[in-house]
Amino acid sequence: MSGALARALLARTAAVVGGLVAAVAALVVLLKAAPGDAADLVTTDPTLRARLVAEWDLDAPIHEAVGAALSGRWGQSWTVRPGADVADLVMEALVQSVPLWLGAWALTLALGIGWSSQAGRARWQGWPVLSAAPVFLLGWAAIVLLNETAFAAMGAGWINRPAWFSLPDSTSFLRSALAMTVLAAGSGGLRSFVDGARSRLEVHRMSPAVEALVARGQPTRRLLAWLWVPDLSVLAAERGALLFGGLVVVERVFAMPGAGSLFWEACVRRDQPVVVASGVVAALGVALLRWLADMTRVVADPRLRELT
Amino acid sequence: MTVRAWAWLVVGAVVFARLLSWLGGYDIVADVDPSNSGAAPGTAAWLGTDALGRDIAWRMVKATDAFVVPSVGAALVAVGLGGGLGTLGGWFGGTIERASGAVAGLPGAAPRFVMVLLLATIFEPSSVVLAVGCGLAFVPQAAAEVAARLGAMRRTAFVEASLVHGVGVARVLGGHLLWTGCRLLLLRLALQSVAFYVVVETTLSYLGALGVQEPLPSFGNMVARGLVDSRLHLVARLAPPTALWLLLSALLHVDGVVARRDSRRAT
Repeated sequence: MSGALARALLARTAAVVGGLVAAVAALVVLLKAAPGDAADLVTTDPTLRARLVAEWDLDAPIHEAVGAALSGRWGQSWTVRPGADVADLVMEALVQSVPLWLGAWALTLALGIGWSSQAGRARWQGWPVLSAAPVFLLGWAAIVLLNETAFAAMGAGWINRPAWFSLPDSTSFLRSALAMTVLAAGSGGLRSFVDGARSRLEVHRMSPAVEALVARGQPTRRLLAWLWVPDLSVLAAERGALLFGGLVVVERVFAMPGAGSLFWEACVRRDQPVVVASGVVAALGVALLRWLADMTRVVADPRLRELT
Repeated sequence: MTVRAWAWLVVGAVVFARLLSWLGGYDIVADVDPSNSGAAPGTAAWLGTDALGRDIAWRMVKATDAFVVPSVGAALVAVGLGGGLGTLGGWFGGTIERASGAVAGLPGAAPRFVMVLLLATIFEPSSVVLAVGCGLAFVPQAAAEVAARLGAMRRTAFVEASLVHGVGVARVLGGHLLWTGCRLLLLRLALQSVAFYVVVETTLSYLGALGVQEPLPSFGNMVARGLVDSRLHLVARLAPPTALWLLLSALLHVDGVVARRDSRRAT
């Protein structure tokens, strides 16, 4: 590995780690700065309040609270599952959510790269408009359409009751597949991915290197793909980060257990340790995606190494 | 009618609905009439009524209260804070650019929706907190794009010439660079933060707990009621989701139009 590449990789890693620590510190500072604390919600009795403050580490200095949040010492859940270890709760939920997130991410990349590389050919122009619907609305439409169509077909005696009927309450492959598709396509995310990827590809098509190959009558596909990789890595990281937020919605709409549902429950029930843990895990996920994108860009594009 | 005209019409209709809601004097409590539950569209109720006999059309007009003004607040936060930090970074460059970039990047450390939920949980899920959260979610993008564009323009000959000829920094920066070079970019960011606020508000209202609560209307809680109550007339069930989808499509389309114009100006 060349010195410039190693320096670039190191600098990018340090920037991502620094950003993560700063974000967690900001979260802890906000929690401390917010009026009142969790003990105020539970009791007005000063003795009990003092005990809760000590038990829940509410008076810990900021640097200790940041250290605890970053090292995974999140304590016990207050309200979502009282007394349960938050790290275990979050891990258990993540195991359920990762396949959904990965599936939606892979679907976004496959559809997005496929569509954006179709420049110049006939395309259906209506899909970006469909993609504008928010995740919950697409989920609502899918549930209503499937349930009511199935109900009407059952009423007419055309079909027997399908195993997936009464979405979203019954667990089925259809429910998981719908959730994945809705997560991948909703809230204009797929459209923004395609727009970004297509505009970058157009820029590369007009680059001197590609034009030189065209002038010599040589194939450009390989060079274009190589030039496109750094842009795609950034777009994929951005989209992956947005899907973490979408998980919260899609898991609620489709009544699926997972990290998104856990985070929502914690927000509604003011379970601060679970909220902090979910926030840290989400920030870690975003940082990891950005780090991967940065590494890909630095390795694929030597010009970026000189800029570091 | 062109798609562009249609998009502007939808955006204009929403603004008109907000004004109508402000002037109209619709009473959300007095409108309850269980004897008129699930009525079909007619002259008394253009889009029918819901399970409590409430006029769906009027509730849709009233639902604009939940997002029109706060979404403008979100746009102001995104453009003001993000644009301000980007201007600092782009104009001065060097250490100041790195510092402003780091500050602006903080809200981007978590996914946008997660960040807004965190703020709503730490403080209160009020429209002000949601507006600030949605605005903050676009600060990293606004700061980075404004800094990049200003940084490139700062080094151009006409800026150097203006400064040498004694034109004030404020005039060069505000009049020449920000207004001429960045106004379409800032308009795009404002539109995107408005659309994001609409998505967040309606999503939270659909999911319950942290959003607009009944009896106050929101497109989100109206869609949720339509999901569970299949006795309502089809028009009454479909009107709120269709209106929401049209609004978001229109905002996205206007954003695309502005982006193309911005790109033509840049080249």
